[in-house]
Amino acid sequence: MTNTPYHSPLPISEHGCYQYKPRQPKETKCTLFRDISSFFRNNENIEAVRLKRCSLDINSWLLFTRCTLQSPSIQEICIEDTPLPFTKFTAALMAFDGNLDKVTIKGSQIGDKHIKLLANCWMVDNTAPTTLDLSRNTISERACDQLSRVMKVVESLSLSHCRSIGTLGVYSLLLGNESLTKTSPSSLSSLNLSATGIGDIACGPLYKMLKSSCYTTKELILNDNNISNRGLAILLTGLGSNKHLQRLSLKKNNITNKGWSHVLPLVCNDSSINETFESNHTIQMVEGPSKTFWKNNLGKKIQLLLGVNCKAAEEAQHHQIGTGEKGAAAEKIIRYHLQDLYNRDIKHLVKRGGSQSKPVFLDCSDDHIFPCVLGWLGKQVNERYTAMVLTSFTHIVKHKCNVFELKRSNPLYKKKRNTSKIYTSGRFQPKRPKKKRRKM
Amino acid sequence: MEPEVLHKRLDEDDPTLKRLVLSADNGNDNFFPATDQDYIKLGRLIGKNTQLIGLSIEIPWDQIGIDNQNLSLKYLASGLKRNRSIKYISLHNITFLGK
Repeated sequence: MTNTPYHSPLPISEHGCYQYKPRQPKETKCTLFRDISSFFRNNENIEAVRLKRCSLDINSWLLFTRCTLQSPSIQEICIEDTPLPFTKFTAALMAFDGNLDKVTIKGSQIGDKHIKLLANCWMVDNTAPTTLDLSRNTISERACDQLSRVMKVVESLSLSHCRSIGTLGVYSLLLGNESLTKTSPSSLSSLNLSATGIGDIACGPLYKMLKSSCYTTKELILNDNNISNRGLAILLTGLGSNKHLQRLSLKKNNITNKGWSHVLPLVCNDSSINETFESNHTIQMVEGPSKTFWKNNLGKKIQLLLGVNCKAAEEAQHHQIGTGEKGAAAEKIIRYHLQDLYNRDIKHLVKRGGSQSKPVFLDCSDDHIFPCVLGWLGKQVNERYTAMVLTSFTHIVKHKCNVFELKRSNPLYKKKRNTSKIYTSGRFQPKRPKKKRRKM
Repeated sequence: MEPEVLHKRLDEDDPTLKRLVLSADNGNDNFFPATDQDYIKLGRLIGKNTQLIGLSIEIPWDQIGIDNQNLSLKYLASGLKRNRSIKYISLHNITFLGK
């Protein structure tokens, strides 16, 4: 038998004693999802999971998917700045399926292949989320084509900072789905295409979207693009007949103050009461003009009119009478045609030689509509307009109804117009000019 | 938030404590567990708590080191899995390895 030296597993200190050393774990891997899988399984309340700037291997993604599938109440999954290459994405795919309200996959290296897989998955089960944020990814127009398939379900879509989208992408996204019809419209309420590299040409499909009865979009965000005055003009033309859009954001584009000035005739074309009535009374917020623009008279006027739309919409939500679009139209007509009749329009008319905008019933041929105007004003009396309507009455009466003051000696009397406006049954309609008979 | 105060509020099911952020930043809802004991105790108290709705883990792991992250989260998770009140969970800067 040989004596073999005994080797202690513990280190011996210089004093000859065993030195305690805390045990280090063998695995230095984070298995949080494995550890808390029962938390997801048993917690019926969990509604939202967010991973930000995390890093997961493929097994962790599988565990993550299992965890989310085990949770019955989960509504929202947010993956932000967490890389999801295609192999890992396939492992996580089922996590994004199901009846989720919101899916956010931001800055996660998502490409066209990912979107195709995701759209297929949602189309098969018809379970696309209502809010979808795919910002800061590398998706192109091909992905937009895939996303157009889920436009019937998605209410809010953000593709901001996906710089490869371009005009073709916008076209594919909005007009690629031919199954959208008036009876089966898109649910899209908010669209964010900020920093997607789009310019004036992309305003074409956006114009079609604004004009289309298949879309009821309330919010359009196009910040940080190359849209110029020309593009804005296209969008504003589309907005002329749009009754849904409430917010248009065009920050950091190439639009000058001159371009922004065209927002005024959109919200209140004061060339006639009819035009004012037909203006846009839905848009509430326009973002993009500089601070100096908002400080000048034109900017202030636009802001005031947007405020009128906003206030009318808010009151309409509380089901107040005389509010909503008609309320906004009434307020604009009172404010710009009837209230300041003498002080503004007469002076304005005289100054410009009667060739520009004029209040409708100042035309001597239209004096017969005056009782209708008073009757209409009387109908507008409610909590909101009482003060304004009374001011209008005061102005009209104080200046002896203006219209009757115009005598033959007045140079304005001779400035009759061929297309004067007439107010009938709650709506201003153009009066047809009488045909002159030729003398034989 | 001081550890003693947080522990007491969690332990007593303070109905005003709805959201907890584990972060190095100062804030009303923020708490920074400095030691392993803090994580163990925190996990246990969160597990028992019935009022907490939101939990966000925003520890600057890159400054602390990966081993610390794994151990600390393991301690936290052992208690957290018993919780049934949390609705929103947010995890930041974490490296997950499955096996």
